[in-house]
Amino acid sequence: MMERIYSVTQINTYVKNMFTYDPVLQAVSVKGEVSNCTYHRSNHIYFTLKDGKSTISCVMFAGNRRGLNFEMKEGMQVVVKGNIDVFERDGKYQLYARTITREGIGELYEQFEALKKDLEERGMFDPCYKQPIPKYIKTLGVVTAPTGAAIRDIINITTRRNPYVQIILYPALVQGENASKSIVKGIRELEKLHVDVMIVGRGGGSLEDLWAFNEEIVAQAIFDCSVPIISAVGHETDTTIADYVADLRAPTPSAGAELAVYEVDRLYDQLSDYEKKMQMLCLRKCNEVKMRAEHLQKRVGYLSPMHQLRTKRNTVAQLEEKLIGSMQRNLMEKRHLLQVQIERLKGLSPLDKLNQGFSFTENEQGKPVVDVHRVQVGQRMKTYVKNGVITSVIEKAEEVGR
Amino acid sequence: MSQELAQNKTEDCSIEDILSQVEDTIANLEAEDISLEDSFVQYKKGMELLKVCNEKIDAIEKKVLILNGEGETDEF
Repeated sequence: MMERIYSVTQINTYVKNMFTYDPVLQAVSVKGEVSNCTYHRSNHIYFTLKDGKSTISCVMFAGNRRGLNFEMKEGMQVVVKGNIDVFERDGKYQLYARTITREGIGELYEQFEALKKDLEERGMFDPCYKQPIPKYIKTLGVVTAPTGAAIRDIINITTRRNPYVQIILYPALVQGENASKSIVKGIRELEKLHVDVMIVGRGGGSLEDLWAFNEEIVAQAIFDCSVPIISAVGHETDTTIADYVADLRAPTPSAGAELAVYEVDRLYDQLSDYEKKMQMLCLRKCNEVKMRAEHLQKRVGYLSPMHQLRTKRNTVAQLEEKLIGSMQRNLMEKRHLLQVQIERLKGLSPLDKLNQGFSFTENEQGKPVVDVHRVQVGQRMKTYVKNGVITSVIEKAEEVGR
Repeated sequence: MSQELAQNKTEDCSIEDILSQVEDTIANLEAEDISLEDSFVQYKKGMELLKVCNEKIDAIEKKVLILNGEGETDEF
């Protein structure tokens, strides 16, 4: 029997078929360390997974990119889920990734939750231990990396708000194995310098990057520190153990600086407001006293003998005027009355009768002659007519019967 | 002497304490029944407090210091 000879293509196709029909290889999860990771222009990702002894090449096609939600970097421990297939052209088999997750993330979360629970039970998050952040500080301690956005942001914001605040930076390692020890040392060193407030933190990063801030020794150092500490780790959404135990949590380093450092301009404004207010109040008091004094002066004026005298004089003058007035009124009234009487008298005057042809006779005693028995012959009489007086002597007087 | 002591005491206070003292002083000034003499005393006190407060803002721009391994500081 002749030995069967296959072409390269044939054999590769054969092997490929074997892979395709193997249920294990069609849905497999492989754990390993990432190396030779290349993000290709076409959005495919090529990398190699390795462990201590062995390597396997992997590819994640652009179409599966939704299965990866972090940036893969060299040295990361990951779990790749996908299928293993043969690349016929090269006669190589590869792991075709559909989802990639980070190995150990779950463990870290468990550690985080466990430590959080433990410290919470020990009362380390209790609000009663939180120290108030002083409002007006002179020195600000910062425990963070000397390079990176965090310290730059803190310096920028501090200088803008109050350039007179002294920042003292403890250049700490903020990620990696020795980070927690470095952060603890920084907290203790700055505490020795008696800074007014401390910001402990770093910029954003992955859970592992921020891990130092989830370690117990860091939590303990923050808790023990006599200087109030503001935690400022990562972004708004990152919450670390340090945030729970700190006296105040800032969502970012920038926000930490804003919480720690007062605005000096605003304080100056406040001071000048106070000054104006005090001046205003003092002036008001002065005016008040002045007005009271004026008022009292007036009152004293009313009570003075001079005023009394003036008032009496006034009264006298008024009375005088009244008296004169009423006197004149009376006089006028009487005059009027007189006039009336004159008119009336005029109407009754006997002299008018003379005008009408009558006359009036009187004896020498001025008595009217009206009775023949009361006259004697030889007596003189005066007779008044309309235009004069006639003197006559009585010759005869006799009674006439009517 | 006693005033000097009081002055020293003020110097030791924080800006916060001084500001609250100024606020108290203003409240005193606002009181209806304060005498003119007292109002001058309060005003003077308030102005002195503000002066201390101004002095407390040590208005010298600071350079960032960096703490080295030996616990000494250098300019950043």
